[in-house]
Amino acid sequence: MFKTILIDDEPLAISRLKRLLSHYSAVISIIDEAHNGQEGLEKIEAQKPDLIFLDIEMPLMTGFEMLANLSYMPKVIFSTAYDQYAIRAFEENSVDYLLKPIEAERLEKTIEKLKK
Amino acid sequence: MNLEKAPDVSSRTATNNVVIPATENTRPYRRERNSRFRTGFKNAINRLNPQFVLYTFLFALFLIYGLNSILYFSLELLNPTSLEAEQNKAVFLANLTTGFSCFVSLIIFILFIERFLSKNWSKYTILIVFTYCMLMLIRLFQKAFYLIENDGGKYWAHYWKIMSVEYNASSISSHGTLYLVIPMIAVCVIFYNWQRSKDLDRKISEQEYQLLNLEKLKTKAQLNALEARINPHFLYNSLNSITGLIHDNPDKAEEMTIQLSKLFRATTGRSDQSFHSIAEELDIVKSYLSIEQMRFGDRLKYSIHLESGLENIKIPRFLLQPIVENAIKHGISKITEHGIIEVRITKENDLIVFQIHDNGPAFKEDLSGGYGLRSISDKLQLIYGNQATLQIENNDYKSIIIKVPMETLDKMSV
Repeated sequence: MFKTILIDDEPLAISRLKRLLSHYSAVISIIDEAHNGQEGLEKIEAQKPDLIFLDIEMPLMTGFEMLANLSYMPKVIFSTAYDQYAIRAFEENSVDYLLKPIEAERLEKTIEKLKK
Repeated sequence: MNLEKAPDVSSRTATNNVVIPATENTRPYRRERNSRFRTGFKNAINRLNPQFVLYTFLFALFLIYGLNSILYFSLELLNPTSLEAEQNKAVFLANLTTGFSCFVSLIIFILFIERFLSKNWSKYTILIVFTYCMLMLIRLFQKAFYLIENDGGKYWAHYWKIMSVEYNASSISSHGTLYLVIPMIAVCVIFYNWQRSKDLDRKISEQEYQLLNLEKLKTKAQLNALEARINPHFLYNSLNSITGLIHDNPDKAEEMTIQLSKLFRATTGRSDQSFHSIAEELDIVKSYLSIEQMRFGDRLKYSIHLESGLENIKIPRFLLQPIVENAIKHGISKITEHGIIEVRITKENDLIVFQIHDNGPAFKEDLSGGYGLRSISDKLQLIYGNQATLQIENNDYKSIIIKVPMETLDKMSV
């Protein structure tokens, strides 16, 4: 069971991800959500989740900037609208890189990766 | 130091030249000198076509002959060497009057008669006949002078003697006729030149017209290139948001889809028209903002204010939407809450003022980061020349201000 925080500046994206993850409630337990890098930073340091779903393009602080400032590093699954950050995401040792809109089959593969 | 002389690319003989280091002997090789002479000669020959050679020959001949005759005659007039020379004054006067009558005949013909004739041969025929009549008229006057003037009469007597001298019984009966032929030829030549210059004028104005058309086409093409396309990222993001809405809020998802298709219809349809009314442009802006509103939720509030009476004024398509898009991309998306966009359209004397404000971070000093303001100012320049302005306010009320003249577009037919 992974304690999870969802971090995305678009409320619609978060609500959709919630709905998709509701099929994996045995694996993923959503404990909180954040709407920008700053908020995400605070909540991660405070609650120390096992996993985060992270958007990249956010106001105040981007996803990468937030990761750079973390003292505690959870597992990261990037979920973003742009594919140009894939290589960098790979360097960040993330679990996966999901392109929005997230497809159900693709998410299934990600969850399988997590379970290993 | 070994300096190499660079080949002279402007001269035609460059390909024949050998590059010579300046330190060596600078006299060109003999072979090279000959070839230079030969190509120069060839070039000159090319510029002398046979037609030109013939014209030059004839013209030179007659010009020299004519001028010499004038010179001789004039000298005789000024320093008469004999009584005959004195009497040549009559000839001089006769020539003047003949020339003058030719001139008058030509002018009258071109001004009044020429336009009624359609065929070329008819023009020349009528011209000759008309000139002949004029000359005969003048002859009558000359004869009248002869009859009136007693003292000057001897001059005219002498003139008529010259005109009716018979050189040979078998030759031309009266070379008086020959003296008539010359004015005929002269008026025909002059008329021909006049026709040609008229043709040239027409050709020039035709070319000018075509050039103007080409300019118009080029402007149109440039305008088309600058035409805004829907930003693919925007489309992508919108579809993402719609995906998120479909289950949670189907009505909103439906509305968003409709707004998106409205926006697309505006870019893809009727692209041969570069203009539409302010009301239509605001429709596009409203569609765009409503879509972004769904994406940003409470992070965005917007308002549009249009001064009444300005709804139907024509402006270039997609003048405002890209600026609003900028306001979202570089402004609202960078702040976490309370984003505001304000669009105000007002009238200021003869100008229409568009002001788009957002409360995002200030514009960067060098306006980098793909603001796309360049293409908008290019479009304004193409359409309005220097009459439109684009200002950037980077202070408390951050905004882009565009001013365009009100009247221009109604008169244009782009």
